[in-house]
Amino acid sequence: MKILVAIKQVPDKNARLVLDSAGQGIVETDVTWEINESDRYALESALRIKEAGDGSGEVVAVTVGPERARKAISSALAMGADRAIHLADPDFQNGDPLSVARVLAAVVRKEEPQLVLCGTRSDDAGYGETPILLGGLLGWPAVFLTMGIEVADGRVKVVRELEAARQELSSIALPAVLAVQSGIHEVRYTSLKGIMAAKKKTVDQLTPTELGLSREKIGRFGSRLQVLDLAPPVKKSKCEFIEGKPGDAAAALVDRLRRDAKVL
Amino acid sequence: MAVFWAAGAALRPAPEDLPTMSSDASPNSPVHGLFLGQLADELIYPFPEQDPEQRETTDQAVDAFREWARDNVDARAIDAAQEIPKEVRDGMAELGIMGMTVPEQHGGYGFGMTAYCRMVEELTRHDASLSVYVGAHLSIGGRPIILYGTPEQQAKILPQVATGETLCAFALTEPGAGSDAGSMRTRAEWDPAKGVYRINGNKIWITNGGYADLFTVFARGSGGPAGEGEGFSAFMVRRGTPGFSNGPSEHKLGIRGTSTTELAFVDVEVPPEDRVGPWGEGFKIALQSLETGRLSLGAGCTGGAKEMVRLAVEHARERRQFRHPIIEFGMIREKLGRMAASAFGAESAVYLAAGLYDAKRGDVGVEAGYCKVLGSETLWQAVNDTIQVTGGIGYMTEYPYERHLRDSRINLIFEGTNEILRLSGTLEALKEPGRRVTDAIKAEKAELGAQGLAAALAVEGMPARAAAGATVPRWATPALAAEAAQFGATLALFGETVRATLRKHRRAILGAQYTIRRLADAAIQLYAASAALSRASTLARDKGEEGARREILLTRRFVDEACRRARHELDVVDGSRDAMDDEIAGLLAIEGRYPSPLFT
Ligand SMILES: Cc1cc2nc3c(=O)[nH]c(=O)nc-3n(C[C@H](O)[C@H](O)[C@H](O)COP(=O)(O)OP(=O)(O)OC[C@H]3O[C@@H](n4cnc5c(N)ncnc54)[C@H](O)[C@@H]3O)c2cc1C
Repeated sequence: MKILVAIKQVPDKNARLVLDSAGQGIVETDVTWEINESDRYALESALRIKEAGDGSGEVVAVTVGPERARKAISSALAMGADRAIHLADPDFQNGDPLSVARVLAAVVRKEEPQLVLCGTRSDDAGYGETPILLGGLLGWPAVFLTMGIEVADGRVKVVRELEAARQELSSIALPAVLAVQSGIHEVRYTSLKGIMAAKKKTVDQLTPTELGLSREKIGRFGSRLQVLDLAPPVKKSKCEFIEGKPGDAAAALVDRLRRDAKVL
Repeated sequence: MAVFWAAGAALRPAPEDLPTMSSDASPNSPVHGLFLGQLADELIYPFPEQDPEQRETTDQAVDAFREWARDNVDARAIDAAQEIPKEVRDGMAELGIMGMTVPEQHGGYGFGMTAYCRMVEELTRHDASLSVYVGAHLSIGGRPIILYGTPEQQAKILPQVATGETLCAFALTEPGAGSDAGSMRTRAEWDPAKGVYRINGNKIWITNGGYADLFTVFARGSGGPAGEGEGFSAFMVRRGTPGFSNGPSEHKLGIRGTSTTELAFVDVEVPPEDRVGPWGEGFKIALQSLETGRLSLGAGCTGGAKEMVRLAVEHARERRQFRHPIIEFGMIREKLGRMAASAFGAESAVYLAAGLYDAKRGDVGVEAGYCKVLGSETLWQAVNDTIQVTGGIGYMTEYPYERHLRDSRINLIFEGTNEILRLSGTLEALKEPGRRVTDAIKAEKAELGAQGLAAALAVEGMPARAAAGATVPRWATPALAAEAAQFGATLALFGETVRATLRKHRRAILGAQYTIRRLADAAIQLYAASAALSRASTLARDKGEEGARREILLTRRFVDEACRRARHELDVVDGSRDAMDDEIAGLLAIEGRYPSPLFT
């Protein structure tokens, strides 16, 4: 079975982010980058499906991202992906979830995998829309918050996480798009062997023309969503003492928590 | 002349045995240059860079190890159990750590020195025991086979070494032969009837003694298949060979996860195909293996020092006293500044040498020993500072700081003590200037007149006056002009001092340890200063001074202190204090105790 895994490169979780002067993005120098967490789980799931198969499977990692995303691709290949597609053309970049989904859909039509795995949401922008939009564009079923995958006889059994720790088991006809939740499996460690083997794997770069996409539909120009402003959270910490007899103070506290903090 | 130091763990051949540079040849390493009062510009600048592909591989390998170690390595538990758990050892093997430097054609990953050093740094940051465990396997234990093994030996053994199935150890030290390895008593006698070597003797303090499968054992003996004479050679001995056994793991101050044991050899039979390298080349093999080991050990210490900076800053930012975070206090900031700058200096020293080694440029044997000395002492100082910054918490076993203190102490002792490395490296570097001074003196004696004397001085090649300014790194970035000048002046003084010292001591320099120690410390500081200057200047060239502002700052701090320290040593290079120390030690040697009762 051929599986396409969509991965995104995001800033390291511990990176200190500084807004750029335009206030529309971050300063990228001095930021270290990594594969988005849930995307790593998606890749792990793909590798497990392949390894459980008859040996004819293929895992293709695909990323929309500038030159720096090459590092994420190398990591995916070192983890075990068989080959990769890097959509680094400037026209692909800075798109909203819909324009990214259009690019991925074009890659899916070209590659014709039976299964597409994505992470649920990116740790940076965090829309959580791309996998569902991708399913919509392809006319494929798409599942969000996938916590279990089992492929058999042209169908896939999927465990989906619901509210209040409930889970739903469903069987879906392939092809399909699954958005994998972090924690689905333990993610394997990268070995030196994997790192060395990755060097010999192919990474294809495709242009919008090769994918039959026009500039107006993708990247910055294809985005319907426009970020107006980005701002760091304002640190507001205030310590207040509620005076009075214990009973009165407690009542006052409950009142404040209800009215002002709205946590009760 | 088998001088004592030459036969020691330093294992340097006596000066006469080594090829010497001709007077017009440029120095073949940065430190050799310093001793001639020269700046070996073309070796020092630009600062070596790792080849982009290897760099990417190393970046990934470092990340991969870090990720694995975060989840799987509990340094505190390893210390408490005095053992590296099997799962951790197996985990490292699965990651490929045990095969990092094994050539690719033998199933390893062919890491060069820079890549290996970066990995050893990362290992040390997580747990010093792991670093020493891997070091004993790859840096020294398996190294003789990688460097000197026959194609058959390599094909047979290295694939298992790479996977970690065969763990290696390096067995040189004996009860009576520590620094003075040449006095070893373990013997390998040729048994013509059986066609085997028969090894008898004891080794002590062998790292991985309890875990290893394959021991590189050094022994002396006479005879062999071809009737070779008395010699000192290396052999491979497998665990399980009859007559071979190891003792229990010793209880130690630090690196408690490593297994350090005695080895006993009673009529252990070793077939000739298990001898490593030619008969009689044991010293050379041990020397070369230790040399690379010292460079990576220096790197490991640098990694440890950087980790100490992280720990100290973390605490200093959090801890509040007198209503301020203690990081706001000058005496704390001074420590942090010193720690960061010293780590930067040691790191620069290591990666300059590693880069030259990888590029096969010159011979960085002396630099390797100096890097081990500088790295281990930088880390020791950094741990000490960190414990001071953390106060009482630093002293509690509940926290990691005291473990770092215990773990880092060994670095000043093993793989050649810091005394032996100061001695051997410095005497090695003094050979060429020594030869030039001897030639000059001869010329003077021949009474060649004014012309001849001038010629002799030119041969001597260290006329500091004529070279005024030539010791200043021209390539230094403008923001470092003052430090470059300070360095240049200190180097000129160093060259002059070396020459004057050699003229004074002549061959007696071999025994003048007070002087050698001072020259060594001045040289170590100057070498590291040149590396730091090069690194910051190279970065400024590529990224602009704004892009290199951190490195420029650290370099300024480091070079200033390095030059002051060097100058301090040179000012008192033949100081009168030596005679006092000599006399006090003489007194102590006779009386055997502290010499002065408080009241009489
Ligand atoms: C934890 C641990 C692990 C080890 N692992 C290994 C291993 O895997 N393989 C192995 O072969 N060995 C190993 N060793 C041995 C180690 O290399 C030796 O301890 C070291 O070489 C010093 O020898 P020594 O202890 O006999 O000290 P000594 O040689 O007795 O030295 C004592 C002191 O005298 C100084 N000194 C000695 N000679 C001179 C001189 N000529 N001039 C000035 N000062 C001098 C020394 O610097 C030192 O300060 C290990 C040791 C330890 C503690």
